[in-house]
Amino acid sequence: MLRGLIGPSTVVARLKEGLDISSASVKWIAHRVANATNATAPGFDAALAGATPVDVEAEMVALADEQLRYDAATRLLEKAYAQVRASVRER
Amino acid sequence: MRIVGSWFSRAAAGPIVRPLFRGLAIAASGLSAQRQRIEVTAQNLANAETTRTDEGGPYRRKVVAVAPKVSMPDLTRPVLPGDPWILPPRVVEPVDLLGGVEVQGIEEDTTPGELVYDPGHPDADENGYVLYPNVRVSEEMVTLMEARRAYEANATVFEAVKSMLRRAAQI
Repeated sequence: MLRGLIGPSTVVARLKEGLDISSASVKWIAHRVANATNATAPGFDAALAGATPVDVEAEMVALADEQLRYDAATRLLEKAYAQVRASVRER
Repeated sequence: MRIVGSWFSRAAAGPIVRPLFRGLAIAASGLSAQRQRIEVTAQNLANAETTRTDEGGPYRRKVVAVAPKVSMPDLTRPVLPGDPWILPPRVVEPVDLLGGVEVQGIEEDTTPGELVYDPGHPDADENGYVLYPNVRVSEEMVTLMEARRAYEANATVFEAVKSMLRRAAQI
């Protein structure tokens, strides 16, 4: 019965996937920002080295976006688990 | 450029970071790299007028050499004795290889310094010229500003990852 509430075809599974995707996106942002001043990788001074420069402003906007997305997903997940908990307790 | 030192040998062989905390580790590597850039810039500015060194000649400008770090994913899974579960092989995603940035060493800028006519200087040659370090203060100040801003950006990422982990722990 619980499979129908928190199984792989439910909204909970999709929310978990969303959390994984957000987490991976933040890791990519962190990696790009960490290498922003690296001349051998995309960075501030990378234009001279022929690489694509990192747009730190765009990265910060993407970071804020991912944070909100992650926060929303965790809140929804919290609600979904609260519903399961309520149904288990019969109240 | 000539490599004169490596500061990161211990960190390169450091512990494996669990995927949950990798975002923090990546941001921390950026913070560490920018801190080292600031320290080297401070050293360059402190020696902007140094005309004699142990190696002979004036001080030479130092530059931090950084490169993207590839993280080796931890493919092992803890298995308890008598564990009945058969775990599927873990798929390595590109995100598992992200390791942030790594300081590979401190290199020396080999461009020649400026010759200044100052016959009264103790390090002046027979013609009265003194060879000064190849440190340009304006260039160092720009590097300092850039490193400071990059440090702030990495600190913002660190804060964001930290708040996300805190939020996840509240589910």
